[in-house]
Parts: sequence; structure tokens; C-alpha cells
Amino acid sequence: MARKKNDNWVELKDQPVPEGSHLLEVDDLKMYFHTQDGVVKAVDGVSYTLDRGETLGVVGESGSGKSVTSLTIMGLIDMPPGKIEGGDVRYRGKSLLEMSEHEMEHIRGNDIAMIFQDPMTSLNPVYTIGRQLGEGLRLHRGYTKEQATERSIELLRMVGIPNAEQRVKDYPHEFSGGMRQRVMIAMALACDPDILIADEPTTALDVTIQAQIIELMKEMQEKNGNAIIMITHDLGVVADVADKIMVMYAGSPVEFGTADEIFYGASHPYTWGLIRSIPKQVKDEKKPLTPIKGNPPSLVNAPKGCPFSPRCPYAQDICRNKKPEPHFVGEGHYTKCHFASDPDFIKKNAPSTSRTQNAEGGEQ
Amino acid sequence: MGKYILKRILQFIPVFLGVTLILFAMENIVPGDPIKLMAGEKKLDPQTEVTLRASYHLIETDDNGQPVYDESGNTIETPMWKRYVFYVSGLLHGDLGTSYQRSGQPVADILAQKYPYTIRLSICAILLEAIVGIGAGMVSAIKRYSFWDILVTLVTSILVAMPAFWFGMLLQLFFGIVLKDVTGGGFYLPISGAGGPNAEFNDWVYYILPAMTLAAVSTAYCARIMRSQLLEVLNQDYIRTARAKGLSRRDVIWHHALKNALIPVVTYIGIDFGAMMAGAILTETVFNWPGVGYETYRAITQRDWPIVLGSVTVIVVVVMVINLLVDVSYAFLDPRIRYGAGKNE
Repeated sequence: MARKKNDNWVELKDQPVPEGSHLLEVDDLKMYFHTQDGVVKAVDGVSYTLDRGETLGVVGESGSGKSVTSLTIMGLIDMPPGKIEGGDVRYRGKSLLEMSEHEMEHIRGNDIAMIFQDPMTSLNPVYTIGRQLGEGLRLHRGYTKEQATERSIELLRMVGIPNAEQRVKDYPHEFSGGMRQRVMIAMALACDPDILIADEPTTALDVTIQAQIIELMKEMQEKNGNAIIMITHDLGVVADVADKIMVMYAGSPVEFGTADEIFYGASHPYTWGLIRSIPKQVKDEKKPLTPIKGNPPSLVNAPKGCPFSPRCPYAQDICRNKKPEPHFVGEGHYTKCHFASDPDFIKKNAPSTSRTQNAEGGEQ
Repeated sequence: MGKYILKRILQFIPVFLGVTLILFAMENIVPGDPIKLMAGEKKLDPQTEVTLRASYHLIETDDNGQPVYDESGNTIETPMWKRYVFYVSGLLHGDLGTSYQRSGQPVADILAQKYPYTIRLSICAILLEAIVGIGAGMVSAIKRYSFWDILVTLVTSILVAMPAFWFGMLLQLFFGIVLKDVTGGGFYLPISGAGGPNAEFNDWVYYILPAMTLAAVSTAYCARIMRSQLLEVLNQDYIRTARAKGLSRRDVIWHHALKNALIPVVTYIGIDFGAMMAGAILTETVFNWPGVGYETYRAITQRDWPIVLGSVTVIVVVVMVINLLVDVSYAFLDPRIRYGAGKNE
């Protein structure tokens, strides 16, 4: 398998990030799918930057384009039906979109690694854990089988799997869900990537295991200094890991800011909705949850104005007819809402959770 | 695993007894007296008839094989259960009985003569099926909706719908007759299974058309199963994981998709091999192939029950053994399947 350590490939990881650019720059990325029903604008103008050691939380409902954005960065979208309609993704100053498939194979797993939602189905059932863990190492580092196994045992130990020498010979079905997600993390970190993309890494896991997995990813990040893109539909998950949060709706960000700005100073009605949807642990008070009513819009016939307007309780005519431009609430914190510039509107309608409760120390 | 195999072998016993019992009962239900059929148009001399019946244990005999008579001087017909017990105890000694028609040849000898032809034909057909079926299915899945995919889908539909014997006849017509005419006798393939000392071709040439006929329908099914399995596997999450690791599309297909996709295909091919080893009556008849299928067909039409019984008995054992091997092979392909106790056994 290790037959690719050839050509004049320059290990990008060892190159310094060019002056003035970031580790990863996503610049107005647009990924459309051309289907029989029309053009699905799955990703419609996403921009952000990421540096080593940083964590970006990408939050949104199913179908908001969170996963497609990251799969586009990884070059894992089949084209056709997918087509990049604009924008760029630069890793250490180099455009990933302009790279050949062969060059992308060097990037995947080596520079940018990814873990997926369902650890139960994300491992190949017919190969041992050790073989799957070592695969990337043999491919990208040219390890021999013995070296790969040795390193696999180390990796398993690192992610907290007991009895690693034995477990490395086991098959995926012999592991529990949480253990498999640990294996997935070990696998993603095997080649010491710059960026770890985690696509809903805890959605399929028990609540008790979720915290462990998040903790593990944080711990690994501290050790390796990699950047993390944490994709989730659960604001609670990103609350204590993300430095920056991007709230996505219908293929584009509606609000972007630091974790504090999003949690305590959110200014988009959709973000408010997400915050209100977090179940609160209040004793002796059984209040119904506050869901966001309605469904995400079809990405084929997106609403003319603000994509959230059909579900927004505050929507006015302007919302339905004109797309809102980003309004900068603070430095780096922007909101795509026509009323974001109106402090009274925000004061009146923002969920009461935020600052007041935070002052007392609880976010939930 | 050992325990599992032993359990499966023990299960052979009731299946085996059941099948032979049913066949034995059939012999008694189906009209036509074998001894009279043996004689054909001629009138049998009564003494000879009694001797014959005694030699086939159709009537009661004493320890020396001499017929036993009742008070009125008639022979006594052996009850079915007694003949069945006699037959099974013979089987346990490796005696499959004696043919009614083939001048008293032991059935075991006849089958030993016929079986190699069936085995060789089955092996040729199964190789053809595995290589062409899996290959076509893979091309079809990997190049989905391409010209090749459409071609494979079309051809497999036709083959599945076509009766095997008719396909065999078309092959005979085309390769044996039309091609011979067109090339002025320069190139053609033999249309029947006659080889032997006066053969016009190398031995293996005789296998081409029968193997194609025998494999046709199953190859089509095999290609379809392979296609759908591979497409399904390529949609699995672990394929995306492998791609995210940086493996090329080719490596992903060969190292991650193929093994998973092959599990059901191997089952199908294994079971199909069992069926082929049972002798392909239609194919062997169309090509005059001297195998067990043709022999069984001949025996049935001529009421040669010992051969029918013997060949079916052997076929049952062969099919059961092959099915067992297929089941055992799962464990090697799919680690999730473990027979019997856990892996720490």
C-alpha cells in the first residue's frame, strides 16, 4: 500500500504559513449540485479562516450545508453532480480546489483529517482496527507493517483504549460505539494532521460518552496543536470547545463570532432559536421546549429575501424581498439580519439566557 | 469452529435418510415394472424372471440368494421397508446397488465413470462465471451509467430470460455450423461432447460451448449481484472514511470495497457450484455430455431406479458438503461471523 512516497511532492505541513495568510482560508465558497430538480445551492458563500490550535464550531440544522462545506474542503464531493461555482479554499496559502486528485490524496489524512458522525458504520467491518489505523501511516509515511502496528498501539493508548496490544488485532464489531469513535479519532490523528474536521462526532453516542469524546479531542488538540472544525447541530457541544462559531442556515453563514459573542451576544433570530432549543436543566419547572417552527427551506428554490424569513417570527416585508448583508456587530462578529443594527430590537427579542444568567455562572 | 462443522455433518444424516426414503417411495409409486422394461418386447422366461427379481432383492430370498416361495408356490414380494434397509446398509458398505439396464453394472462404477465429466464441466463453468460475472459486475458498478454498464445490464437481462438449453442450441448453431460454413471449415467449435480416441479437437475444446451454456444464466445473476453489492458498499460510511484517509479511488475499491461486496457473491457462486455438481440435465442433454446429469436423465426415462437412487444420493452428499464449505468460508471473509463459541475458544 505504501507506494505513494514518490514524486516531487513537498510536504506542505513542513512549510511555514505564508505571511499574511492563515492555515486554512475559506473564501466565499460556493458548491452547487446540479440535479434533475434544479440547482441545489448546498454551500452558498461561506468564508472563514482558521489557525493552528484554534477550534471553529459550525452549527446548523440538517441540510444547512455544514457537512458539504467540509467535504468540499476535503475534495470528497463527487463532481458531477457537485460543482464549485466560486470561491476558494487555501491551505497554507495553496488553493486546494486547484489541486489534482493525486495531490489531494496527499492532503487527505495527512494534512487535513476527518472523523464522521456514526462510528458504528465508519469503520470497515472486515479489517482489524490495527490495519485500518496503520493504513494512513503506511500510505503517507511509508511505514512498514510492523512500524504501523507499533504506532497503532501507541495511538490506541493515546486515545485511552485499554489493553491496546490486544485490541489492535480486534475487529470493529468487537468495540463499543464510544470506543470506535476513539479509534476514529486515533485514525484521524495518526499522521499528525494540521486540521481535524469532526462532522457531528458525538451525535450517535450516549450523552455520557459524548463528553468523553469532546474532552479527548480537546486534549489531543492541546498535545498536537492542530486546528479543529467541529460540525454539529447542537450548540451545547461547541459551547466549551469552540473559539469561533459559525451559525449556518440554508448554505450560508447567518451569524459568525467568537463563542462568547454567539452565546451572550447573539443578534440573529435563528441563533436565538438555536439557543432557545437547548434543553435547560431547571428543577421543579417543566416548561415545554421552544423549537424553531417550520422546516429549513428547499435549497433549490431558496426564498428571494432572507432565507430564514419564512420561519422568522420577526420577519417584515424587507426580509422577504431583500437578502440581508452582513452587519458587523463587533470586530469579526457579523450577523446577516436586516434588524441587527437596531439595538432595541435585539434587546427586546434576544433570549434572556445570555448575559444575565451567565453572570451567575451557568450557561444552560 | 470444529464443533460447528461436526454439528453440520451430523445434520447430514436426517437429510440423507429423508431424501433416499422419498426416492425409494417414488420407485414404488411410479408405474412401470423394471424387470419387464428390461426385457422390452421379448417375453421373459418365468424362471429367468424369478432369478432376476431375486438378484435385485425385489422378492424375498434365503441366505444363499435363492428365491423363497409361499405355500401356493408363488414368490413373495419384498416389502419396501425391507428393501430400504437393505439399500441403506449397502450404502454404508459403499455399495450403491446394480443397474437394471446397463447389463448389471454396479451403480458405483457407472457414477465413477460419469462424475469426472460433470466435475470438469462444473469447474470450467464456475471459473467462467466467477471471472466474467465478477468482472462485468465490477465494471458496471464502477462505471455506472456508462456505455459498459448499459451493455452489461442489457446482456444480463437477455441471458437471465433465455432458457439455458436454447442458448446452448444457439451456440451450437453459431459456433458449430454457421461459423464452419463462413470460414469454410477453417474455424469452428465442437457441438457435442464426444471426445475419445478419434477426437478432432484437443480435449479442452469440447468444454467451451457446454461450459458457456451451463454458466450463462448464473454468470448474468452473478454480474447483477456483484454490481448491486459493489454500488451499495461504495455508499457505505467506511468507504468515505477510507477516502478521507487519502487512499486513491482505486485503492479504496480494491482494498475496502471488494472484500465486503464479495461476501454475498461468494455465497451465490458456492451454492451454484453445488447445483452444477448435481449435473446439469439440460446442458448435458443438449451437448450429449457423458456426465451424471445426462445419465440421471437417461435412468429416469428408462426406470433404471438404482442409478437414479445412486446418483441422487451422491449428489445430495456433494451438495451438502459444498454448502458446508460455503458456510465455513463466510467466517474467513467476514469476521463478524463466528460459528459456535466465541473467539477465545
